[in-house]
Amino acid sequence: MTQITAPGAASLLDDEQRMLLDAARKWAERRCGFEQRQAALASTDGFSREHWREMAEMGWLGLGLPEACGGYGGALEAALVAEQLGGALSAEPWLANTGLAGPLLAALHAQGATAAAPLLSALAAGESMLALAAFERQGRHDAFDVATRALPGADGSLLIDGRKTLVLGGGAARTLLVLAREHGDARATDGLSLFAVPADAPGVHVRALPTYDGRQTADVALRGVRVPPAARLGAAGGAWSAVEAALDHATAMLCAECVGAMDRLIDMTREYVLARKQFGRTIASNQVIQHRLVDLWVAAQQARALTAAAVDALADTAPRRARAVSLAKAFVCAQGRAVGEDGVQLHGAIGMTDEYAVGHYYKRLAAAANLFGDEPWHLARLDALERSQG
Amino acid sequence: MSDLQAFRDEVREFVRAQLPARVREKVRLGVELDKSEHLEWLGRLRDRGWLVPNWPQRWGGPGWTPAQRAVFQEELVLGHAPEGAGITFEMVGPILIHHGSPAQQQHFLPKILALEHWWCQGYSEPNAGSDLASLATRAVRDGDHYVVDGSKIWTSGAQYADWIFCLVRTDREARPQQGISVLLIDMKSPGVTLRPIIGIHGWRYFNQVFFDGVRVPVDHRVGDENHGWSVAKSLLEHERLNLSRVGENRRRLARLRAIGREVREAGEPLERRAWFQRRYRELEVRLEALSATVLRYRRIVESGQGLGPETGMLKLVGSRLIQDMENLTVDAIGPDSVAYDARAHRELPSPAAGGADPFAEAPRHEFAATASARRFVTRGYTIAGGSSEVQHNVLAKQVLGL
Repeated sequence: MTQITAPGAASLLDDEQRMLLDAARKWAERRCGFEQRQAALASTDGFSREHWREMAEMGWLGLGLPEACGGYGGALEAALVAEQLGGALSAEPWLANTGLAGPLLAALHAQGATAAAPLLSALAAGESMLALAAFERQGRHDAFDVATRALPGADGSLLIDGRKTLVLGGGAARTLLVLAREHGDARATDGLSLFAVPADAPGVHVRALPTYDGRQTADVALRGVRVPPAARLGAAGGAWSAVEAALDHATAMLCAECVGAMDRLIDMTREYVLARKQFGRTIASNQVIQHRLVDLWVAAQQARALTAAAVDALADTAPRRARAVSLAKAFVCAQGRAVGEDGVQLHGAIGMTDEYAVGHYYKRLAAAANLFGDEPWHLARLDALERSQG
Repeated sequence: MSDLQAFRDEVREFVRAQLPARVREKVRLGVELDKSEHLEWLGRLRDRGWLVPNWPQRWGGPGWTPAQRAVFQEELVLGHAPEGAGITFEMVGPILIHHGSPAQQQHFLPKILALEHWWCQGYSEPNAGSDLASLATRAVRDGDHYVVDGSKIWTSGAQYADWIFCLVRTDREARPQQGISVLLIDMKSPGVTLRPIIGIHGWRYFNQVFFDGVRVPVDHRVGDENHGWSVAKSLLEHERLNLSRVGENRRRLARLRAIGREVREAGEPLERRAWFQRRYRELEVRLEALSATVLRYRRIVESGQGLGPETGMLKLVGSRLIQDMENLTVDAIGPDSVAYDARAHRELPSPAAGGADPFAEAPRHEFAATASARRFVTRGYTIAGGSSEVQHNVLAKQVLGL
């Protein structure tokens, strides 16, 4: 399928990783073709439960999670699968679960939050879905900008009030991981706690908010939601560093998805310009078209390298991890979207249609540019990281 | 006050008073209009005598100077009047005025002015896009009729159209650009069918129009048989100054300015954020560069000089600029622009449900629901009507002599 990715890439992997990559690639080809994906999107859930079960059976839902909870492998293994799922524009909420909620729970689990273990096991087994409810509308890309409050109730319980938006995987999740403020000002990173809240608890309102690129997200309103203290995962007021790390993990996985999407988009654009004839010859015989394809490929190569570096850095110190992730995401935001735009342009009008795949790849790359921090946000974070290092 | 300023005020007041509020709001928010809403507004323009500013007075034009026409266009855009009836009034009308037979003019032009005929354009085919001259829809003479077989694609507005202005091949032996004729085809003719094509933004945006043994009276051919190419080309020269999209770009820049004031990031309005300031001002400079170029070309025309192929740059620059305006609009709205609501493209938002709605307290920005879809629409601006690649080829060859 892929004729133009770097031929030596697989040599950077060990045998087990190569097998995993191979299995993911074959599954994506066989089970997640364009028509299958469109059918999954059109279903009630907006994704295929059957696909989800298959992903659980192959162990992909536990990638990077603790072995004690049914997990296996690390961030690199997760990224290999993410790239293949991205290349197929898979409709399943893998990023929301294994890419984001999973690593967050794993970090809290490592810090001693034993309540995270059953949630992780259920996630890895494909039995129950999770969603991180962190972002709020006024906060834009700042997940720490949290107005949702968790205040002590009369009987030792906590009462949560607030509104969350773009809750990735929010429609299907049985448990919401709600980031709420126990103390501090609206934009303080200190004072944030994470609560496991059943999606059907009284006072929880979930409204589907699908994205234009086929992801399921939700608006979530919490009105006087009463939770026991045991629902708090990790230290009171001290959740931010784990949430930030999990968002970095998810951002790296999103970049890996985008690398897969860029590769497929460039492949199909290449095939199109080789086949499409105008003025008595293929479009590809025009030098200007050849040069543009080369520029797309150059962008994808660099996106792949920066993403691989970000995935490597996920286990590093927080500042190094943040820098590597922001470098990758800033690049993928700008270049991924531009690659998508050029892919559509080189297809011409047919690229503007819903019935043709390239537009869907463009939309996935365009959406990624505005999720988990846009380019200005990541550039500003690089700036702040350097200044804080003195 | 200059006469032009007085004229501008008059147009502005007319738009303010006559544009139906619902239509204005839909255009402002980027919600699609239906045909009746277009017609409602066009009827007001017609009653005022301003329906066809670019037509000669003899056929109902108001007799304005080019400067007045530019002011008129700009005020309509800034007042959120609908765009999108250009095929009928800016293309088919002028072509019939220049190339139509007296009988065609007498029949069709009054129908256009009466808003009885809505036109679409049948140029592109599945295998004739940028290379329009390779079109294959054929028209075979049979007595007083042509029999037309083939299909046209990317036909926007065909679902609303009463007639199609169609390029067909009448001589298959001739060189590609010869052997083409222009036919006016009634969309209600037996053998005409439509296939809707959904765009990437989820709207019915294009159509494919099929012709299966469609009989068209020979009287409905514009110009001589096999000389349709020059008729079609004459239109391109006529349209050029409008292809710059200066007005649409101005409207978008004004919208960006409003968003910059309204949307806050990290506790301050976007207009104070360095990244937004820089991108906004860069777009402003590019818009003024485009606008100044249009103005200069217009003065050349007014001095009596003709314009050559160099005006092709206006389409190239204006379409690219509008795409970048849309990308900044999306980035300014932020992550919320990624959420999609199919209804938002067709319906105005309903009034908030009030206290019972748990989501009412954190509404989305008013442009959030349509910003991304509008952005996707403009990706087509560098493809349709002569792609940017073709524009580059034409400029390289005809202007730079490469």
